[in-house]
Amino acid sequence: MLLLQVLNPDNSIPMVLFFGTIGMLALTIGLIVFISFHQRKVIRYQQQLQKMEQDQQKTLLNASIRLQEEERQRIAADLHDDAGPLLATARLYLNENFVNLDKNTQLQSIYNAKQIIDDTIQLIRNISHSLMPPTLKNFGLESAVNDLFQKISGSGSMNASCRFHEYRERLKSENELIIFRIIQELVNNILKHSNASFIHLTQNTSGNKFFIRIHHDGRGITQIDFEKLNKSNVGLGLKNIQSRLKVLQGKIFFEKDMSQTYYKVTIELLREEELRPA
Amino acid sequence: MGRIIAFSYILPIVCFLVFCLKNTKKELWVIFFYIILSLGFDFFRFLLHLENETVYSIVNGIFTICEYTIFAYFFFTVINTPITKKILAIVSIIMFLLIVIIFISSNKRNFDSASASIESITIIVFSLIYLFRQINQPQEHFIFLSPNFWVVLGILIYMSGTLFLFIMASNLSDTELQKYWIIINISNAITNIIFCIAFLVNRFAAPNPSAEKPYKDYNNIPENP
Repeated sequence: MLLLQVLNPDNSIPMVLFFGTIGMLALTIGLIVFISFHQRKVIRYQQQLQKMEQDQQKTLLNASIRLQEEERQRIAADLHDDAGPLLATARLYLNENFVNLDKNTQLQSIYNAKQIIDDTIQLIRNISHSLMPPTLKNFGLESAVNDLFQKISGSGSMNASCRFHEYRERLKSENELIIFRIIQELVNNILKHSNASFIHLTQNTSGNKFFIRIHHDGRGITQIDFEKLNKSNVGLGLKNIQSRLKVLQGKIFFEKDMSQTYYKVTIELLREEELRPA
Repeated sequence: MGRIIAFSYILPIVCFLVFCLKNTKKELWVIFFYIILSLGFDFFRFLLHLENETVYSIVNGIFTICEYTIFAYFFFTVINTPITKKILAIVSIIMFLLIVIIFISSNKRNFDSASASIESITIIVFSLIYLFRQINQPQEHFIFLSPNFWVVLGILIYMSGTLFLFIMASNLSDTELQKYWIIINISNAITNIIFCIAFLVNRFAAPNPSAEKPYKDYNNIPENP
């Protein structure tokens, strides 16, 4: 305003008015054009993100379905290849009693049939336990994981141990099952691919988070490898882990330890009271 | 020129009455009320036409206060963030009091440049705040499909087109001011046309709430004939 008052009002006012008004209108139009282009860019970007998320969901869903089908096929194969022939053999032994009336032979047939039926019961029990371990339901996550690691150690293939530091109260049974499946999948991967000689699991809590860490000294993967495998068509097990973690609003992180001697997998979950409703 | 200005007032009024009478948002009713008020004041000013300087000045001052109130209320309605709404309300009340005080303390012989300039600058700032929120929280649809955007655009063009005239009005004589009043008339005309676009966008681009949505009840799928 001071600057305007200094100028000669007779000549300069129309110029100032003209250029001032044009300038303001040009600024306004420029601003509107900028905003409309920027908003289009933001919306396009959001749509791209949405599409990527949908594609990822689809991949996870497909992986989940494929894994389910594979599991069913495995169970069907176990029942057909193992349980089926055993029961058929038992039936043969029992049938023999109708033909061979000699008491000793009959007793022997019945005894053989009983042995086979016992073996079949054990086989079906094993299949059932691998589907849903009763220890998990009855005694909780810590006992089920201890059980699993003892079986691995017992097989002699590697030294497996676990330690739960802060697990006084059990989680909800459905959450325990999900966490158990994740641990099972990770351990299976380590057994199949890593050639490790030891595997150690620890559990603790920190603030509002629940941590599970698995260390092993074999060949492992890093976070970059995990993300690459997740995007590809292979790595069904890892995709399954991802889906399960999503349910619990959790995260997983693969890394090589600072000392470069072993690999570490960290699972981070929110404590149950912090979980947002689905 | 007068006919063009008159037509630019009638167009949005007719558009609103034909297309937007039912199921229109509150903010568009506010703008419709502003158009009617603006038409009334312009007609009154046309009748007065420099016969009585003091009354002319008072009419202009009152119009400035009413215009500011209406636009401030419009922005209060369209901006949804609670914190921004509160700040807007506080600033609006302060500006309103300032404009009233300046108007009351002015000599009421010339055009009240100070209050009109303050009004313009404040409304331009409110418009920028609205546009900034639009950048930060883009709607799902394209911004040109929002009637509020068109209203803000109209207000921004009107205020930015007339800002320099309002600032320099105290340096102009009455004759010169009347000569340059055409800037206000043109800005008004453009703004009214843009308001008209806002009303049309509200009717044709936004989803029609009165249309029945088809309801699919999968429990009552009719058997094959």
